[in-house]
Amino acid sequence: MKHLLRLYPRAWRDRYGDEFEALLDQRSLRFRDGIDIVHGALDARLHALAGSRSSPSAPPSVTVLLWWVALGVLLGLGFVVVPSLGPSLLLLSMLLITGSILALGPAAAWAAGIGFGLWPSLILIHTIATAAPPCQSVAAGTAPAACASVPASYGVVAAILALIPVVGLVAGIWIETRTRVAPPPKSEAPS
Amino acid sequence: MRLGLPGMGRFSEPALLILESLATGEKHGYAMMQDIKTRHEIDLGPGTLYGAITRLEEEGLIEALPAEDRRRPYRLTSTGAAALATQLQTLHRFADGGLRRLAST
Repeated sequence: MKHLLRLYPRAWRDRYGDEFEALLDQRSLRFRDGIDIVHGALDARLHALAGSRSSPSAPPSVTVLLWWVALGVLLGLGFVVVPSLGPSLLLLSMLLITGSILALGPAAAWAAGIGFGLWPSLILIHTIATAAPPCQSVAAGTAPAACASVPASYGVVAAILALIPVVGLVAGIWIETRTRVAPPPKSEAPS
Repeated sequence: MRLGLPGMGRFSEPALLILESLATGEKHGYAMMQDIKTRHEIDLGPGTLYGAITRLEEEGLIEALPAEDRRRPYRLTSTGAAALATQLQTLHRFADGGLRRLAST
C-alpha cells in the first residue's frame, strides 16, 4: 500500500514522505486505510494548488508553456487540420476539440495560475465556436451527426462528475457501518 | 459552534484530537494515532492524520522536531496550546450547559 504515497505531490513527499512511510510500516494496514490515503493525496494536491495560486512563487514557466502549447495544438487540429481533411473526419474534429478543453483546459488554467473559473469560459467559447462553421447547417437539418458529439461529451462528463459524490457517500456509509463503535455503557443521570 | 478546531475545514475534529494528544508532550504520527485510539476510540486514518498535521503546522499550532529514525515528533506551540485551551473551554461550557438542561427535565 506504500506505493499510494506516489499519489501525493512531490513537495509533500519531500517534506512528509519518510515519516509517513514509517507510520505505514508500523500500522497494520486495512482496505479503508487505502481509501483514506487516496483521499488524503487528493486533498494534498488540491491544497497545494490552492496554496500555489495564492503564493508569490509561480509555477515553472516551461510547465505553463507546455500546457498551453498542448492545448493550442489540439484545438488547432480540431478546428483547422482535421476538418480540412474531409467531412467524414468531423466526428474526430469535434472529439479533439471537446477532449482538449475538458482535459487540458483546467490543467492549463491551473498551471498558469488563472484558476478553475477559466474552464466554464472555455466551454462557452467552444459552444459558440462549434455552433458556427462546421455545425451551422443544424438549422437546415443537414448538420452532420458528429455535431451531436459535443453536447453528448459534455453530458457524459457532467454525469460522471455527478456520480462522484454518490460513490463517496456509498463508500462513507460502508466504512461507517464497518467501524461503528459500540455505545458506551449507561451511566447515572447527572444531578 | 464547531465541536472541532475552527478554521480547519473537514480536518477540524482530527486537528483538535491531535492538539489534545500533544498536550501531554511531543509525539510522532503513529504515537498520536495510538493515543487517540486508546483515549477516544477514534481510529484516524494515515491520510486524515497527515492532512490535519499539514494544516496545523502551516497555522503554527504545532511544530516539527528533528526526525528520529524516520519518525518525526511534533509538539504544541504556545499558539497551539492557547487554541486548544479556548476550544476545550467552549466544549466544556457546551457539555456543562447540556447536562444542566438534561437534569432540569
